[in-house]
Amino acid sequence: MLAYPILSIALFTPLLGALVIGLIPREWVKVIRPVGVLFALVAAVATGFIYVQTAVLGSADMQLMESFDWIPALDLYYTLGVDGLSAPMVALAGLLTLLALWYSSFTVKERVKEYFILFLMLETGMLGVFMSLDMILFYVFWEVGLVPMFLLIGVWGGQRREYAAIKFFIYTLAGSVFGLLGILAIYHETGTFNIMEAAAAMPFANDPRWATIVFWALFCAFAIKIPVFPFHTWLPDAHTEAPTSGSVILAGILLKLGSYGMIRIALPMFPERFYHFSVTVPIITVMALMSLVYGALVCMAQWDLKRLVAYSSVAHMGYVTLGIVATAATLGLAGGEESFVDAAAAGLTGAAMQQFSHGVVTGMMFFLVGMIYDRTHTRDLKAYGGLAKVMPRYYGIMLVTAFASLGLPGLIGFWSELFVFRAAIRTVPVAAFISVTGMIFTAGYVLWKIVQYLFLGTLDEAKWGELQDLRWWEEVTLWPLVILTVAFGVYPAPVVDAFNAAVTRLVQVFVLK
Amino acid sequence: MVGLETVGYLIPSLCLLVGALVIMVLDLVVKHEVVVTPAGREAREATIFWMVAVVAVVAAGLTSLVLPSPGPTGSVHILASLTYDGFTAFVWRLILLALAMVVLLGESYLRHRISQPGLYYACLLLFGLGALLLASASNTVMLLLALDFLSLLGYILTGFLHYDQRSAEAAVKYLVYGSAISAMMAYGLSWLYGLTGTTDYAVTAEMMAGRFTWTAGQVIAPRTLTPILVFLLAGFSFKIGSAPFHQWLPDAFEGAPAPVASALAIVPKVAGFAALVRVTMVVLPPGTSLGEIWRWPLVAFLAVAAMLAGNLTGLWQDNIKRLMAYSGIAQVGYALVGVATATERGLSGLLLYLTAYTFAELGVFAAITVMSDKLDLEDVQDYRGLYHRAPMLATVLLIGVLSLFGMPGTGGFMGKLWLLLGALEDGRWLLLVMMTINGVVSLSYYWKVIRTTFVHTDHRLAPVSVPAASWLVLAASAVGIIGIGIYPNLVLQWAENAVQVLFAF
Repeated sequence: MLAYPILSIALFTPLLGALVIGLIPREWVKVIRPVGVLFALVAAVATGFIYVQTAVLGSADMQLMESFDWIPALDLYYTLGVDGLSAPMVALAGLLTLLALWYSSFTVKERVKEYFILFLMLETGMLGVFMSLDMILFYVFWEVGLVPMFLLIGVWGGQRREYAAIKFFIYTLAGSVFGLLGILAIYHETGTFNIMEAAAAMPFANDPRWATIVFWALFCAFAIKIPVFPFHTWLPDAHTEAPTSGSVILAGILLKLGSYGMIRIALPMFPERFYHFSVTVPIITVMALMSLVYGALVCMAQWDLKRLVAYSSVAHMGYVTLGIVATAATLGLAGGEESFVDAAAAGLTGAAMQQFSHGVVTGMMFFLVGMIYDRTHTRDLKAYGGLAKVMPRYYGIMLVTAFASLGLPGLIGFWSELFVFRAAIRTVPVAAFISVTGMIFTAGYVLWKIVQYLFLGTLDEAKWGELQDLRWWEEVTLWPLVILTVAFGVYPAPVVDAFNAAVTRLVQVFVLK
Repeated sequence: MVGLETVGYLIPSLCLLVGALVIMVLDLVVKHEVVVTPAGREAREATIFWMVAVVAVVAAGLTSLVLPSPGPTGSVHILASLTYDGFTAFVWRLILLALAMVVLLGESYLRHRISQPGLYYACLLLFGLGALLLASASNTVMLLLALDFLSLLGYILTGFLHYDQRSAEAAVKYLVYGSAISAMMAYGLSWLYGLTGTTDYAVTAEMMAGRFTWTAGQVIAPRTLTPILVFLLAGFSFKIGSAPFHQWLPDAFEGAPAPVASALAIVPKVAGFAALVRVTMVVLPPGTSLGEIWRWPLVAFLAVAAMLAGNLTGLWQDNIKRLMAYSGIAQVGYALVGVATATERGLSGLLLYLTAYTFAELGVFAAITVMSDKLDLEDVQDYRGLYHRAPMLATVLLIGVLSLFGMPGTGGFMGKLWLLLGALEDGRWLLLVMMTINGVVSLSYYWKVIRTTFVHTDHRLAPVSVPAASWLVLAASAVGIIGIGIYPNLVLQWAENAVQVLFAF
């Protein structure tokens, strides 16, 4: 057992970094950048350590827990903990923030001090959401991440940044406000804010009307963040207009806050309602399918590269939702059979794995898009062609990313789709068959739009003949993610086992009832 | 009984009164000197008055801290019209803190823009005195007197920029409005006196607990006394600035000098709420039929009306003081939820919320005062790029606005959470939902301020220097907001102790 609270240390290191940078004069840009990256590095090392420790201690249960009295008068306790579901995400958050800040050190030239402060505050918010075991603490960290992201888009973003920023803010805020109402309702019913205790207490199990209302309140909060069709309309604008590192974090981690909340809070507290709305009245299933299929189709229609990648996030997160639906649908089938638990957990394992792999792959994708935009200042796919000749290394990494995105076996994206389909075919077969078309469309837009339009075909020598291939600091940004993509593609056990252990434990609670 | 030993509890008020008198005397004696400096015209003598005012308020604040406490549920009756108990102690300290901060943040503005600083400080101190009296009133006559006194000083202070037509117009509007509503309240209270034969809160409550009968022996149904409640509520609604009697507020804020606007934003609201809570818990306690009618639907209606009126109209504002006025109306709406629920949690939530609100408004108005003072600018668009011109000022403005909006991590969120839980306990789902939805709606105009100060840049504009006294206010505001936001236990403890006495009746 550890003598020091590693979770709090990892959690507050970025915030401390933000405060330290706050004290540095604005003009000392050359000092601010290394200091910011240093704090992100310390946080990344700490989160990596957390991940390893959790795997060592056992991913099924909550580990490294810390609990302090925060506001006892309100039953609020500062409770942190990680298990196999959250530890890999925590580590990913640390890594992506580090890479994003590293990349930003070289690309962000204006208002550098505020940028780093906001980014580090954002990191604390993200880590806090994954680590919190108290619902109000969860909500606090969730909201803490909103203002920095909103300002990052609004100040350092693209042409329509203000519109995108305020749309993002209001949309997500409206959702989280519903979430707050749901949390308060659960507290009213169970008397506790602690996630594990409240889930065990099965709130509103006997009252379908209230259960439905509270379930939908919580679902909307998370669904807007994920985002699930039809709540996805904020995403294309926010992702497209955000600065590169902002998009990486937004797509890589912030979306996962929603799916994590869905798996950690919404599903265990209302498994019966989830089943009801996935199978009996399959609203959620339809929403997942629409995200998957419609999202992929819209991708195929895009000519703006960044917008295409943004919509691909919608499509990929559709898999996450489908995985959760697949597990929720097992509720009615288990009949208390122990052996079924494993199969039931497969859906959630796939969903969790897809969260992780999407974070890695789409993070990489947004970096790549940012790099090409940095050189050419256009995102129009029609303007490109034949870049493979001029930028071979970029091409290579983009190929890895693209194939991982469409789920090629041997790369990280494959395993998540495998698990999701394995569970879905068993429990929601019709949905599984329809979602296969999504896979086909994904291959369509990846290969046709991204690979072909960017890299194949004739090269416009006049415009792109002199393009520089990857610079050293861009390679440093990308290679960790490439290594993860290939390594976990070939040997996913470290993450898959972690996810599987945690979700099996999660699923046991309600499947066996 | 009316013993002089209890008058000692009035020492804080006396400090303010003596301070005001000293300033008024000094005003006759001190030479009025207007100096033209590179920074503009400056009234030299303002500093003397400022120092006297600071001493008076600090003395009042310190003495209020050392007044012997009558215990968690005890109370001391002073001069048969005021009550000092734990609740009064909390509110007095909050009012005096706010007053001290208002005096500090107005220091530079007064030197540059007010031609009669002596009169201003004297009026401000008397304004504070009126607030202290209103907060501790336990007699309907004192309630009326204090309310009118506070309003009167408010009228004078609002119209202080006698060369500015808006200021005069605002003052007249406030005067006419206030007088009419006061009259309405007086009418209701006189009716109450007629029924009960007493003006003391506690005795009134006793009398109403029994049943009223006409001479013919018919029993009066409590419902028929609803008009009294409505008139009473009208008076409170006017004072705290809640819909439907809020129309004076935006004009008063816009026309008044910035330091006066900051005083108006905080002091009457806190004092008015204290008086409202006292009336609610003593005269019309939960459990009695009149008390139930009072809280629901009357106060609850007021809460929802204020939230909606403030938020929906605030969306269209371009003048920052007007915007803050409407935001204040909405804030009052949220706070009224605490009164409507009238549980321990609801009322301690109300006090927590008012504390966070005070700090937030101080931060925002410190920024507004500096901008009004240095640049005479009041349009939101003029705050463009404030982050580059005065970074600390803009940061505190941001924190203040986020607190008003209720962002987690700020005191405003803690206050709102408490109010929400109070409403939850009481089963008031409508208030809960209205509060949360309105929170989202309010983002639109708070974002206008955030966007202009942080997102927009204008490198042509020169830096704005922040006066020394305002730094203290900015620091206090930031510390207060973040402190309550992260660790509210201390303030919560005080608030919970403060409301104990209200449930001892």
